[in-house]
Amino acid sequence: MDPHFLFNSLNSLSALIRTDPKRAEQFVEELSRVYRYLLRGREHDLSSLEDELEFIRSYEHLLKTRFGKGFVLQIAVDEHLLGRRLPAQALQLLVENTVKHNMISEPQPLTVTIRNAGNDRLEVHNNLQRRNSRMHSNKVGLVNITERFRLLGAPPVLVEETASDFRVTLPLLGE
Amino acid sequence: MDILIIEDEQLGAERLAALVHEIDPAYRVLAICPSIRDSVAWLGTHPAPDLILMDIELADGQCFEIFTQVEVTAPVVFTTSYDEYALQAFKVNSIDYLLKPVRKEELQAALDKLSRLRSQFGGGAIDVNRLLEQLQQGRSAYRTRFLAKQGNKLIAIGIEEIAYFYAEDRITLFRTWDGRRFVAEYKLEELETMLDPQDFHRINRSVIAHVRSVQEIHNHFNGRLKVILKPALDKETIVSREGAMAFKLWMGK
Repeated sequence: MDPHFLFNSLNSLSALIRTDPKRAEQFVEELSRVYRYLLRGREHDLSSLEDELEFIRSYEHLLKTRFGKGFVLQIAVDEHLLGRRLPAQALQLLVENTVKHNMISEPQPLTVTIRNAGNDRLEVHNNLQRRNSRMHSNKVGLVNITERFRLLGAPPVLVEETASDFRVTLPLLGE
Repeated sequence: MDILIIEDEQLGAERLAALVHEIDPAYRVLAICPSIRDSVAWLGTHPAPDLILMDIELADGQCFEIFTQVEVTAPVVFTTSYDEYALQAFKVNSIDYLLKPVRKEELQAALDKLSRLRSQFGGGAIDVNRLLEQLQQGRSAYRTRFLAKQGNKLIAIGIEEIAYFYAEDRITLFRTWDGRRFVAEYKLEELETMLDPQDFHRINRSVIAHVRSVQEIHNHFNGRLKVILKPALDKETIVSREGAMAFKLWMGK
């Protein structure tokens, strides 16, 4: 996880403490869930889609607190696929990348969609609205994910980019 | 004091505005701009504020872009949650920045400093072109000069003239190759980040020396080293056992 994320979260939290202590408390709970998951999940472990999505919802809570309506996450995954597995934290890394590399504002929200494509693949899609930055590109993270699937003998990870869309398709592994 | 806040996260911006108001209810937050675009538009259509608090990472890119699109005459204090790369450039250029979450005391110190500077010089715009150049190079350049007092006037001393910096009775001084002494306006800790580590090294708690000022190195007891500097420093310069390895590595570079 990017160290920016912790400090940005602390920044949101320090604002909430004075304006909305109840939300601050909830934020702390979600933040600790996110970090517990991150510390527990080893890079080479596999997780169930169900666990990954639950973690993503906590992560989403933190992002929505920071960005308000500027960040939208939609999850549409068929229930019978929840036992399928994928490398731990792969989804989080993909969502984190979308936040890092795109403009996020209420007039122009960033919408990330996670959905299954058939029974064997999972798509992470976002509307592409790149922001200028000298921050390192997402290549390292993507290469890392691609490599983890390859080492597991899984079908290749697909990365598609058009002028307005960015999509990564991950293979779902067996239960 | 009229303040413009440039910050893309609403919660953070509101907290900053609340802190400013707590510090002095007379301070006014004129506007909160969340993006480069909004900031450029605002600055282009309003008189310059007394201060801009500027977040580095904005919704549509990095704040440095603002300076290339509109003239910024107001003093700027940058805010950032984590950006070592920019921090180094700020330190080298003595540019003010605040780490987020911003602490009230630090914000207050920055505002006080600005009020003071304003009454003295009537402004404090930063050399953004130099900063941008350094950020684009991907590294920050080191200090090339220091301002020093000589009697009643200020003179600039080039870094190439300086043999070492040292602390004495809570004052930092530096010494030129020809033996002159001046007061440096920075603590040794601050100087460490401003100086090229190729040339300068913190050899102990009280001395940062240029490699060529090290005249002789003697083995001292307990694995420590005794260093003779030129021009001579009137107290013994000892490198601790812990620091000896790093010192030798640096000398041998």
